[in-house]
Amino acid sequence: MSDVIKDVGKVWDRLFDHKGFLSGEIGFMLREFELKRGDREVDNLFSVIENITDIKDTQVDCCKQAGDQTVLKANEALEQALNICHQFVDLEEKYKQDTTVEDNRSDRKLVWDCFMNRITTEYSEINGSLEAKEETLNKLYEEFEKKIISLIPYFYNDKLRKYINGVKVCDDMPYGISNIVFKNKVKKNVESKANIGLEPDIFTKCPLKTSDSKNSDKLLNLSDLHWLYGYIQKDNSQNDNKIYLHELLEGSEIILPKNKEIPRSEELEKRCRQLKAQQENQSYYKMTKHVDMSRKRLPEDSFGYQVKQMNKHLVAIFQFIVSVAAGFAFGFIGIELLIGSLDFGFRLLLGIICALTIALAELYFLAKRLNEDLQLEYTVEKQQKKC
Amino acid sequence: MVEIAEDLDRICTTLDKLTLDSLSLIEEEIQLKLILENSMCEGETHLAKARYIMGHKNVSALQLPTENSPEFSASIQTLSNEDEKLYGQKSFEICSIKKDEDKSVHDPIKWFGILVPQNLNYAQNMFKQALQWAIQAINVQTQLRETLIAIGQLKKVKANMFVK
Repeated sequence: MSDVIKDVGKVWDRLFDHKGFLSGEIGFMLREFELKRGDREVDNLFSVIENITDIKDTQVDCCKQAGDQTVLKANEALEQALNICHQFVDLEEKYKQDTTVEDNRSDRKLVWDCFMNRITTEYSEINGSLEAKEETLNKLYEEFEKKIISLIPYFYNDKLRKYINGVKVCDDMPYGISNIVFKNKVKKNVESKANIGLEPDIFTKCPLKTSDSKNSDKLLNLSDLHWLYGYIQKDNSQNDNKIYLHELLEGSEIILPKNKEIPRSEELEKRCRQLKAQQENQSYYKMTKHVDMSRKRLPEDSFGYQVKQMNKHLVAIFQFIVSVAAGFAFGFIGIELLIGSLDFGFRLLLGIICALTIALAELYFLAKRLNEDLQLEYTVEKQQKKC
Repeated sequence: MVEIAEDLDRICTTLDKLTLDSLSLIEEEIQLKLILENSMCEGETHLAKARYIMGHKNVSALQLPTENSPEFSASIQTLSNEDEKLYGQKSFEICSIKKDEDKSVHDPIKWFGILVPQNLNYAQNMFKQALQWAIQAINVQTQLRETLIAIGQLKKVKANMFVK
């Protein structure tokens, strides 16, 4: 029992008696703070004392001297600056009191306003007078035009008409001139050149009415002019008072053929529009084919489509082989039947030559056809859509 | 006075001839231009037929040479020569250059493939004819211009004579 109590006491000691541990720790702390620290603080204090005595002895005097000097200088500079500032202030006050600039400014503004007013009034006057003159000129021109239009038929080409009317009647007078000379008009059959099919280029001159240029009764042809020229030559050789063709022709009008504008027929327009709409629909369909699976069933997925494509290609190849074989057969057997008996090697050679030429030609067409196959796909789809 | 009258007479007769000449030249030029237009139209219809046969992608601007293709020279070229009779006027004529003389001459039909429909050949012939008509029209036009210039000068001379 007593052992147990002793043990329990020992355990209690061990658990709750911290004296030894505490003393060890305290000893450690003491050592740290006192031994190791040692004289560190004292040294610091001594160095501080040294510095302070140093400063007390030397530095304070230096500072005082330097400060005295610089302060003096700063004082002088500041006083100069202050003087200058006072001068500035004085100047500004003087300037503010001086009103000449302002007066000049207001004077100039007055002058400018006067000037602008004057200019605007003058301009408006000039514009008004211009417009009035423009109106008068327009009226003048209108009157002139009316006079000219009414006068032309009487003054222009009077010379030519009078001369032609005075022409002696002969047998070989061309149509145009005879139309003017005689009162009864001879209707000239207008020949149209068969291969051109446009209006013939009658050279026409001497219109007697300015409005109606298609009035072919009073128009002259090139052959008329040639005839007239010959007549004038004959006339001039006899007379002294010569008349010249270029003077007679002054002021005449040359009438050139015009192009007939054929408007596009309505049916063609309608058809064009329909075809355009169809093409646009096709291209849109091509674009949106792969977008929506539920809307359009891709025809390429169906088994029938694939079989058809394969069939097409197989048929093309079969065609190729049959053509080549037929060519060989012709060369081998056919030529012998035509001509007579031939050597076997020679027959073979002929057969191979025929087969080669046919093969080359077929290859070319096959290649072209395979190149076009892409377009056939879309036509197949279109047919399917229609059905 | 008599000399002036004779001069005036000569000037006026030449003026007459020149006026008539100018009128006939105008007519000739218009006719040539109509024929030119006709052959161009026919050439273009043949080209359209060829396009219908071969498909619109095989006869289009894709077949024309672009900037990167090798250079080649034309097979029909124009030469101008001064004619003695017409007092130094220039007249033009065309000559076709064959492939043997100049290696860089190409036949444009080769651009459309090897076996082309006959319509392309017809179209090419029509365009060649159109070229010839065009050259003739140009010659007539130069003659007309010279005639008009001569008429203007003579009229000035005549006016001066009247002033004197």
